[in-house]
Amino acid sequence: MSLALEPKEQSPLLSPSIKMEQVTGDVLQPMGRFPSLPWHLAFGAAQLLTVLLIVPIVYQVFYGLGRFGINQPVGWGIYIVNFVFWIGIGHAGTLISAVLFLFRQSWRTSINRSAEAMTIFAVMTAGVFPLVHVGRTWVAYWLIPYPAERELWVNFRSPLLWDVFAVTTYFTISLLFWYQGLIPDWATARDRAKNKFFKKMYSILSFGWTGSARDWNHYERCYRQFAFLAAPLVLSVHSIVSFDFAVSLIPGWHTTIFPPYFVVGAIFSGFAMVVTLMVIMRSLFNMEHYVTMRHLELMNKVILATSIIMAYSYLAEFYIAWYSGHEYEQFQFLSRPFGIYAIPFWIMVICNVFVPQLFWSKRVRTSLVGMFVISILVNVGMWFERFNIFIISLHNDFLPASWGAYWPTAWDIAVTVGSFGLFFTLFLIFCRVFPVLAIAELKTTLPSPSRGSRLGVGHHAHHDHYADTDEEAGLGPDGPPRPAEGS
Amino acid sequence: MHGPRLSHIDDPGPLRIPPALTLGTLAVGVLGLLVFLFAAFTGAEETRQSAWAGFFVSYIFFFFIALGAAAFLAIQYVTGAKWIVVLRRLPEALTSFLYRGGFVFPLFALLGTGYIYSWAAPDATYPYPNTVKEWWLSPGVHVVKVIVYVVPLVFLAFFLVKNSLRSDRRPDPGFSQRQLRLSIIFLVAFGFLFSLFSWDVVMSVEPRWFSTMFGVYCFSGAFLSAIAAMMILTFVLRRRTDLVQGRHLYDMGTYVMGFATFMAYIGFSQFMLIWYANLEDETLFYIRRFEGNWMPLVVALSLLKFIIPFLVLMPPRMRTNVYAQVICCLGILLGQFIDIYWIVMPAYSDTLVLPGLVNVATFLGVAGIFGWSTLSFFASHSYLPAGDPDLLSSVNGDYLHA
Repeated sequence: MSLALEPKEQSPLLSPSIKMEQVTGDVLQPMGRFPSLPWHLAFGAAQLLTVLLIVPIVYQVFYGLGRFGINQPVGWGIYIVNFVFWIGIGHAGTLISAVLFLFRQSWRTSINRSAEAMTIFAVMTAGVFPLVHVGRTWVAYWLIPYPAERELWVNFRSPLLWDVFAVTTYFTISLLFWYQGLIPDWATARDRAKNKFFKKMYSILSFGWTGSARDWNHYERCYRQFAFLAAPLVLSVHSIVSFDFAVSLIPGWHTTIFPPYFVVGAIFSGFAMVVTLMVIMRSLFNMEHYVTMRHLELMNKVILATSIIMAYSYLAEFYIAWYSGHEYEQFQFLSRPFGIYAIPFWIMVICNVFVPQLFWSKRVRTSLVGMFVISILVNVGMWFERFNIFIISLHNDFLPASWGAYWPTAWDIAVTVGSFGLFFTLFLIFCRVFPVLAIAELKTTLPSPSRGSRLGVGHHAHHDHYADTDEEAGLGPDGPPRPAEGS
Repeated sequence: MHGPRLSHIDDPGPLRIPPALTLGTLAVGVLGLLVFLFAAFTGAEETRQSAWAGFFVSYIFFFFIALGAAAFLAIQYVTGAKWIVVLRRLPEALTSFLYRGGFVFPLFALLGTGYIYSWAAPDATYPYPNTVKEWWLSPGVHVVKVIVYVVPLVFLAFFLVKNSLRSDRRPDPGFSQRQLRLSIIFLVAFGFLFSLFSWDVVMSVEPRWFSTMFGVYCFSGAFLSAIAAMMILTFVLRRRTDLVQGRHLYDMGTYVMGFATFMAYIGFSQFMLIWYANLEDETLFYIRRFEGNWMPLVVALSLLKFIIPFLVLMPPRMRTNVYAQVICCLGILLGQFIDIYWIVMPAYSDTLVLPGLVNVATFLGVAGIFGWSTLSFFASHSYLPAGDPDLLSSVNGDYLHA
């Protein structure tokens, strides 16, 4: 029987009203004009929140850590919760920029730039906490081992040190990868700039990009190799963060599923944050035609899938605690839903497991209000997940005589809320001065006269020799940003 | 294929496989299993023990390949992947083992519970007596558990394959929507039931040991070995049709490399966390598997399952080279077998035991049934899902621009 059915047409990624020639103007427009009133209001609010981060830290320097709720046995408090929370937020950016690229998911083009920026700002926000916590921030570089200079050797057996390596590697690669994607767009901005000063500045930022075939060839090779380097980082960073806990002997911390479980949780919270930011950004900068409902819906599907994996991880932990027959382990897991921290536990379960199930419904998945509320609840849930893991396991020490409890004080809450201020401040500055969409990549997803229909014959000859050369097999036909028109 | 863009593809019909080959494979299977039955029911106590252990290792190996292939299939439907359509019959053929005889093996293994599991022996000792674990790991409950874990998965996998085969004869406009729904149900069920199967059926051969990661560990092994088996079948299919092209091989090779890395990540994380914490109940698993000459197996499985495929398939050129791929994938399958052997066998012996003649016959027995089910699948069904609307997209490479 021969085949008569045509492939089902998918709804377009970008609004069909977009013309090739308007893309550059639309994307660069916020960079060239005085910011709007909503941006000023949002930026002011973020600045005010940042004050809440700075004041407790300064206060702590004068009065000591006692101002926070930590005690014996809960020696790790809000700082570690916020650190892990913010590192986790960053994960979606690397996943979108590297893993979706390698999987040829072209829908990443409208969101990758801002998701990567989000990664970098989230890691910077996360970095505040350990840097303050080391006590003498000005000698934090002692964590970098080069003993010939200082005759000081760090403790390689400590997972906290592994964290230093993991997070700095992650930050460096994410930053370089992000910057590389920006280079052609800086060149576009340079070519459009009217002011001499801006022209000079963009020229420096774009490293003298000319847009020649040679430039693009190097660019594409490099982009792909970065993607391969960055893909394992999606797994490694949060795995190593999870080692901070899992290598210990504390019941509830020492469980082997921690590395992938932390990674999935990070992707879950990261995607929720991307959805939150995209809903805000597309209305603040009139990007509705570029970040369409299809992008948002696809991200909501990722949130739904990861939510189910989270449910699996929670159940796996409970099952093995029961199966193991260890009374400490069992007591630990019973005290989560029924102990003094029952409310945080149930907030976590409701927000992370039950609420995202609403995304099974297409109506919820494509409702802006619905996804905005759910994405925020997911991050509330993920913050409480870290709170539960770290605090509940510590508060019941092995001897009942050394049991304690930890409740956040006003200072703890201020630091937490303030970290959002820092993050949003950075993100709003990014929206103001950077091209928020990857212009060159975006144009490859637009139909254009030269490309004919998107399944055009002219394009075909190119990738049928897929296997013939290293380059073609490696770079792939859909490849990274292809020069759709001169930048 | 470098030819022109195709506008339609005829149903090519089944592969021509000589009936002698199919029947011969079945005969090997039956003979091997007869040897096993003879040893397991009439041999001396030690022979019986060894025969059942060998049977357990062999059937888990093939059962995991089939389950991994079913999970692979379901993931492709859920993600709406189009590149795989031209190769879709391969995971379907592997999955068909589940309902063409494969489901009998875990049920049959129930007869050997007393030999396979130390907790089921008459003089069993429990690490934590009088706990609920003593009840959970008992022969009666085990029967219920195996049935509850295996039967739903086999049923769902059966429909997953059957729907696709039916669409060959009668193109079905609602095909992808129906398969999508079924695949979601399958994947959610698979996530929970496969993990429980891994913990309660495989991990409990070492009853004192436990690891939350073990479900994921078994999944990554099953998935990797299923992709490796598919790769070998791709090699066969490519000789029959030029519709399977370099880029399909390239994508399969990337899959192999990616999941070899995932396997290493999961395996290392599980080992490192247990080794570092050094708790009595957990670390004994690795101590028993590193000492008594078991260590060479660890080296072999890490080379075969991760290091060799990772390094060999790293250059893009190698991922379109059929021979490099097939050799790596044969290595992966061997590594997966060694892995299961290494997990299971030290539970019965402190020092390295190599498979005996009965074990080899048992392995050939299960392999024969597996081979028969795959061959007869290809002999009775078209080797391309010609009714699938996305087949043209997969062949012409349209998915690259979507």
